[in-house]
Amino acid sequence: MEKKKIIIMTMIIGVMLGFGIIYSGVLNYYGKIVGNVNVEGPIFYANLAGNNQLIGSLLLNTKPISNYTTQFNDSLSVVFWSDNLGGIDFNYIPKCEFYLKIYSSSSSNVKLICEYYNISGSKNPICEKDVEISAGWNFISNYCFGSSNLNSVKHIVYKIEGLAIPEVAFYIETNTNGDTRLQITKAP
Amino acid sequence: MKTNIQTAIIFASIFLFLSLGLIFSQQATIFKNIKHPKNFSSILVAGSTDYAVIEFYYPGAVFENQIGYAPLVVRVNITPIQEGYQINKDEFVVNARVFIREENTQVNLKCIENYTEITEENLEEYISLFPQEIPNGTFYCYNPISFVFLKPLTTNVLNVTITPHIALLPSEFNISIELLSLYGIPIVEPSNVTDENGYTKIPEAYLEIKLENPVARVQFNAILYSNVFIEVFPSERPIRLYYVEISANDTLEKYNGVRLRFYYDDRWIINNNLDENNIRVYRYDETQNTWILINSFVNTSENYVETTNITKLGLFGIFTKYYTPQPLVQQITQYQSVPVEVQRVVEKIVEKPIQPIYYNITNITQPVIERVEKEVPQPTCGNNVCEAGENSQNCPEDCKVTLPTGLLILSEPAAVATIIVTSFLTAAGAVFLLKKLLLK
Repeated sequence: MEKKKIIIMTMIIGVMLGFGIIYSGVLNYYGKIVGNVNVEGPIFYANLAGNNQLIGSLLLNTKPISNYTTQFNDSLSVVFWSDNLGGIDFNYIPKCEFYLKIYSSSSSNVKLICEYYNISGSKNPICEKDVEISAGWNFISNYCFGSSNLNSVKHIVYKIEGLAIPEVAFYIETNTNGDTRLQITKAP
Repeated sequence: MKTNIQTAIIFASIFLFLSLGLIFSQQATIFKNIKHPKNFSSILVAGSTDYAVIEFYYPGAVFENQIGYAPLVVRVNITPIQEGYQINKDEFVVNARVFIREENTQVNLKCIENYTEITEENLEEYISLFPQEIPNGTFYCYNPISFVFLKPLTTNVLNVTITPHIALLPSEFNISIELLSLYGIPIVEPSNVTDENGYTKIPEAYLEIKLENPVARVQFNAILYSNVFIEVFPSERPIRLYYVEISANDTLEKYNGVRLRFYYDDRWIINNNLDENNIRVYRYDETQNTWILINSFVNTSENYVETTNITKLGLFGIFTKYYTPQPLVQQITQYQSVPVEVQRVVEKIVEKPIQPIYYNITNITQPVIERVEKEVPQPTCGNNVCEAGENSQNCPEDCKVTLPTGLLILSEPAAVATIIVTSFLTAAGAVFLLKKLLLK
């Protein structure tokens, strides 16, 4: 029994030493790191500059630093614009993923619109989606697919349009959690 | 008395382990204590930036001609995993900086993905290190102000950031970061496995390999360099053709060594007024920081230089010197154009390539040529140059036997296995004796 223990112990020590020596040598030689990265489409975070404004901005991959709420009624809309992207091409069919923190005074619908303006100033719709809003605060996530590549993109636009008959009040919040945002990714 | 011997054995065992550790710490690696405190995140949003960190210690004394300072070139490779995805230039932005801890200073590296971006006049002598065709997705980062800047005895923290373009097609990528400071910047890194005859060809590295005794298949990896950081040349052949670092996944002794054939472009040789007959193969000895001439001969008709019975791989350099014309005497190389009787003689040349036969060409338009006796210069033993025809047996003064380095040992599985078995047996003995001592 005692002999067995000694044998096992010596084996463990021997193997550990062997591996230790190899490891110490090899590790020094390979000044290399390797990893796989999954690159996802850009996220545009909706950002209001103050309360009760109907036009806001879209921050590229950056969450807002303050929380603001804006109100609109019935069939009015709130629009968020990205900065000038310089006329870039998205060489893939896009999927627009909508995220929205919205309050409604009663059950209703809103239209989520994904579109862009190109370098020459013309508006190009990408896709849109109608969603149901319950009374109270809602966290919405939905998506739609575009039908063609996006060319010479200057501004990405995220528009939330009311589809209500009078009298429905909507509130949209843009916050530091980034609850209201738009992600453009590749359609499958 | 007995106890003293046992104690001595135990101390000897400990000493052996310490020695082994020291041997391995002295191997020909340029950086030590390499750590990876942070790798890139697994998910990255297009248009945002992520970073990876490599920490390493540079002990110095590698590049003696630079007073111990070393260059640092970082290669970043971004490869799409999705089949058929072609990455384009400008789809990623890569930046790098090195924080030198002991000096509390930071050096910003310039990362390029096109050869033409190397515009610094002070780097003229280093431009040839870089491959002229940089593949898409590959970046080289270097210090644009001072190429050789890593100070000995410093801990350096390398920070590499990548930013995928906002409109990049969402996909998965493999990203690697490598510190290239040992030999140089690889042009290509192909590999191949020998066939049943022990033969393989690696054309990207101008290389053909043949095992002398093909008892098994062996994978050979080649790294081609157009230039290297080591700024030493063989004095007798100071002009480089190229460098190839060769490694294998097995030791070569059991195959009776390997025959290496390095091809070259004879037009380049002629255009640069180089001596084709003087092309030879050298192997870099990192312990001595010199090039060791290897017994090799050149075949000027097929444009290769060959060396046989090589058992030690490593960094090989193909060197020659400028051509000095010798108008009256020329070596016959056009085998097909000579008469039948002469062709027999030429066969003898092939058998004894080290002793070429010279012919005096009386009239270049005539098919008949006259053989003349010309004394072939014999190698001079004792001139500190391991010339063609000399080896460690017939001229040990010139052709010193170089001991394998720790790096080599580690790259050879049989040697590693020997180390493990030795360590194991020594440890077993040590534990056994320790046990006996304790029981007493």
